[in-house]
Amino acid sequence: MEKGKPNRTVVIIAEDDPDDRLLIQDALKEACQGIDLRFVQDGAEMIDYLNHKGHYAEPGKAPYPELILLDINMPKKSGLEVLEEIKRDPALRTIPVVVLTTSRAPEHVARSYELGGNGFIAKPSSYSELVELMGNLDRYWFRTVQLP
Amino acid sequence: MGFRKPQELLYRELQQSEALERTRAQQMEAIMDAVPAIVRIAHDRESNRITTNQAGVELLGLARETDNGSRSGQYRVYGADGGELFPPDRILQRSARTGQPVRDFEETAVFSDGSERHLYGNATPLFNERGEAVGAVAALIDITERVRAGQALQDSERRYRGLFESMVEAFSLHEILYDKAGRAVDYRILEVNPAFERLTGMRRDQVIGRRIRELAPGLDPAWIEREADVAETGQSMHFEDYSTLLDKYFEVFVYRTGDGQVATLSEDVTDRYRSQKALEESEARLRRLVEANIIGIVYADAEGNIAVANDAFLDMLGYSRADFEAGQVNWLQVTPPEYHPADEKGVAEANARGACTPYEKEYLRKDGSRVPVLIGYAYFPGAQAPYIAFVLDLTDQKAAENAAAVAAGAAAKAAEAANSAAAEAREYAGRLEQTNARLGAANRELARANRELNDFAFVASHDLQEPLRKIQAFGERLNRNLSGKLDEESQDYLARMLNASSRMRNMINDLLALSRVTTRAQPFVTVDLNEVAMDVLSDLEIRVQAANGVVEISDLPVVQGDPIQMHQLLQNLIVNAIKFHKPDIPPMVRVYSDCTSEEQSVRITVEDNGIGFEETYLERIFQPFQRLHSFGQYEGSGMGLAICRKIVERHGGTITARSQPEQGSTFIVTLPRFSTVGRSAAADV
Repeated sequence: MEKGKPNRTVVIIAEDDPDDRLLIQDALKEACQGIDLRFVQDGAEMIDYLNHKGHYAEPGKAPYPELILLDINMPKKSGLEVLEEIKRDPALRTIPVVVLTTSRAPEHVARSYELGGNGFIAKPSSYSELVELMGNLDRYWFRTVQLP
Repeated sequence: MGFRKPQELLYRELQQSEALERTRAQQMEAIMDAVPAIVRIAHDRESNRITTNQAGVELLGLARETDNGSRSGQYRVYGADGGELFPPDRILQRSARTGQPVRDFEETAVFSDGSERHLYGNATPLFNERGEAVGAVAALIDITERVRAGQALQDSERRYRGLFESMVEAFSLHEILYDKAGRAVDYRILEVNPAFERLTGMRRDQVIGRRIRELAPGLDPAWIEREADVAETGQSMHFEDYSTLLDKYFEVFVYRTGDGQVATLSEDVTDRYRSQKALEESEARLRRLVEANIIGIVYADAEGNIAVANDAFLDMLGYSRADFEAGQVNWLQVTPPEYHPADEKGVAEANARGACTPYEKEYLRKDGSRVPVLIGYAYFPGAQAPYIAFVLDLTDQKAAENAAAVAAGAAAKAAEAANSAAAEAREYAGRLEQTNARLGAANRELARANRELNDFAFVASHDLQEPLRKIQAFGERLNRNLSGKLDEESQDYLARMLNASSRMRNMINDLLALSRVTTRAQPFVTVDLNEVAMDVLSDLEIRVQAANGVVEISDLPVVQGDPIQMHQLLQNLIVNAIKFHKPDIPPMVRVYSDCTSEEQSVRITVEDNGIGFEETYLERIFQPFQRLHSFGQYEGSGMGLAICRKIVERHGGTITARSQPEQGSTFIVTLPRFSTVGRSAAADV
C-alpha cells in the first residue's frame, strides 16, 4: 500500500479460529501498514459480506475488498464452495482470492486452482514465517501486480 | 367204305388232340407266368414233382421244374405262429397230401442270408377222374412290405402309447361341439391318459364319450371358445390359467389334431406358480426396503463386486449412480485396508451361520474422507450376489459421542477467554498453557494411533497440526517479547519447549506419511522396479554425491503394485543405506534381485557397507518412531522403515534385514510376483 493514499486497502479474510485471527492480525501489522483487515467467521458470512446482505446490508459496512483470503475448513460453507461462488459471480470474479489453509492435500490444491483461485498457500507453522508471508502478500498484490 | 376209321383219320385226330394238348399246356404256362403271384403246382400227392411259375423262380429262387420237391428251396419256412414248417406241412404240400383246400395261409420264408419273405395264399387240391387227390395248386402273394409296415406301425404305436401312458402332462382329445348357429358350445372327450385321470380325479371310463358340460357344468365358457379357436385356425395356443373348479394353476398347450378336434396338454403348475408368487412377493418386499433408502443396502459377491447398491449407500459414500454404473464402487476401492481383517472375519461368520454379527468399520468416500458405519450382512448361498449387507451411517452417533468432549473443550475455551483479559505476556503464557493441555490430549491420541497403527493416525495427526502450530507461533512470540526479561533458566525452558514442539511437528508429518500408505493408496498396476529405482536415483542424486556414495542397481523384477509406494519403498531403503554410512567410508549401496522366474515371489535386496546394527533390534527398527541412534547423530524421526513395512504388507509381502554392527546391513523385501492382495483375497462388501 502506497503511503499517503487516502483510502486504506481492504483485505477480507475468512477465518474461524480466534488464535489464527490474532496471529494474522499481529503479523500483518508487523509486516506492513495501510491495510484494513476485515475478518468474517465463515464462508456464509463471507458471501453475506460480498453481497451486502444480513449484517452487511448497511451501506458502508462492507467496503469492497481488494484481496480475499480463504481458509478451506470452515463451518457452514467451505472455502472451496465460497471460492466457486465468487468466481461464478461476474461482479466478484475479478477480486483475487488466495486460499490460506493448513491443508496440504494435493486434491485441495488442484481443486482451488480449478475453481479459479489465484493462489494456494499453506499456513506457515511459525509466527516469523507468517509475518514474512503477510509482507509477501502485500508486496505482490498491492505493490507488484496491477489490479482492476 | 364201312365204319372203321381210316388210319389217317385216327392219326389226324390224334395229331389234333396232341396239338390241342400242347396249346393248352402253353396257355396254362403263359397264364401261370402272367399271374402277379407265386403259383406252384404239385403233380402228385407227395409233391415230388412241382412246377413253379416265373414269379416263384424270381422271388424264392426255386427251380421251374423239380422232381424232388421236398428239398427244392434254399430257405426255411415258418408258420404264422412262429413254428418251423417242414415240407409236408407247407401250403402246397399240405393241400396235395390231404386233398383239402388251404385258405388264408401265412408263411415266412427265411433265407440263408437272413432275409425274409412273408407270403400269403390259398391252395386247392387236384383230383383225377376217380376223385383221387393227385396234387395241388397253390397261389401265394408276397406281403413282406405290408407286414413290415404293419410292424413299424405297431412299434411306433407302442412307443407312443408308452409315452402317452407315462407322461406327466395330462392329455385329452376333444371333439368340438357346435350349436345350430355354429357357435362352439361344448366338447366331447375322446381320449385321455392316466395323467389326466390323476389331475382331475376322474377315471377314463367316466369321461370318454362324455361332454364337458355334463362333467363340469360350471366350466368357464372361455375354455371352450379357446379350444374352438384352435380347431378353426389350426394355430396352437400356450397359456397359463387358473381353474376355479380344481383350484389349480395349469400350463396348457392346445393344438389341432384333426377336423374339429383338438388335443390339450395340461401341466399342474400350482406348486411352481405358488412358490414363484411367494418368491416374487418376498422379492418385492425386499426391493421396497432397498428402494426406501432408510438404510444402505448392498448385494455383493465373494469377490467384493457390488451388484446392487441403493441410493442410501451411494450417498453415504459420496458416489453417484452413474459412478456406480461405471463400476467405480467396489469393495476394494471403498474399504480401507485395515478393515480387511474385520471384513474377512464377518464373511467367514456369515458363511458359517448365515449372517454376521454387525460391526463397525469405515468406508472411504469418493472425496477421500471416511464415513463410520455399522455393517451387518446375510449370506444366501447359490445367489449370484450372495451377500446382502445393511449399512448404517454412524456419523451422527460418532458426533454425539464426541459432543461431550467438544462441550468440555468449549468450557475450557470460555474460561480461557476470561483470563485473556490479563497482560499480554500472561495471555501468551495462557495460550501456551491451553494449547499445551490440548497437546497433552493430542499426545495421548497420538500414542493410541501409533499403537494401533491404523488410519486413525491420519485424522488425528491432521488435527494435531493446528494446536501445535499455535504452540510454535505463540511460543515464538513469547520468546521474542520476553527476550532479555527472563532469567537464563526460564529462557532455557522456553527454548526446550520450542525445540520439542518442532520435533513434534516432524513426528506428526512422519505419522501422516505413514498413514498415507493406506489413505492415499492407489490401485495396483504393473510396475517395472528398474524404472522406479532409476527415478529414485535421480531424485537422490545430490544426496548420493554429497556423501560421495555409489548406488548400483542391477536387474530388478516387474511387480504388481502401487507405483508411488514402490518409489517410496526403494527411496526409503536407499536413503537409509546412504545415511547410516561409516564416518570414514563412503556409502556403497547395491540394489538387486536374486530370484528365479519360477518362484512365486520376487526378492529385492538393498545392501550397504554402513554401520549396521544388532539383529536383536530387528523387530524394533520397523516400528514407528523407533530409532537406534540419538537425535544428534542421525536425522529423522524413525518412521522410514515403518513406512516401508506398511507398504510391503499392503502389497502382500514381507520385509526383513540382516546385519551386524560395523558389518553393513542387508534389507530384503519379498513381494508376490503378481500380487492379488486387495483384489480378491477377501470376500466382502
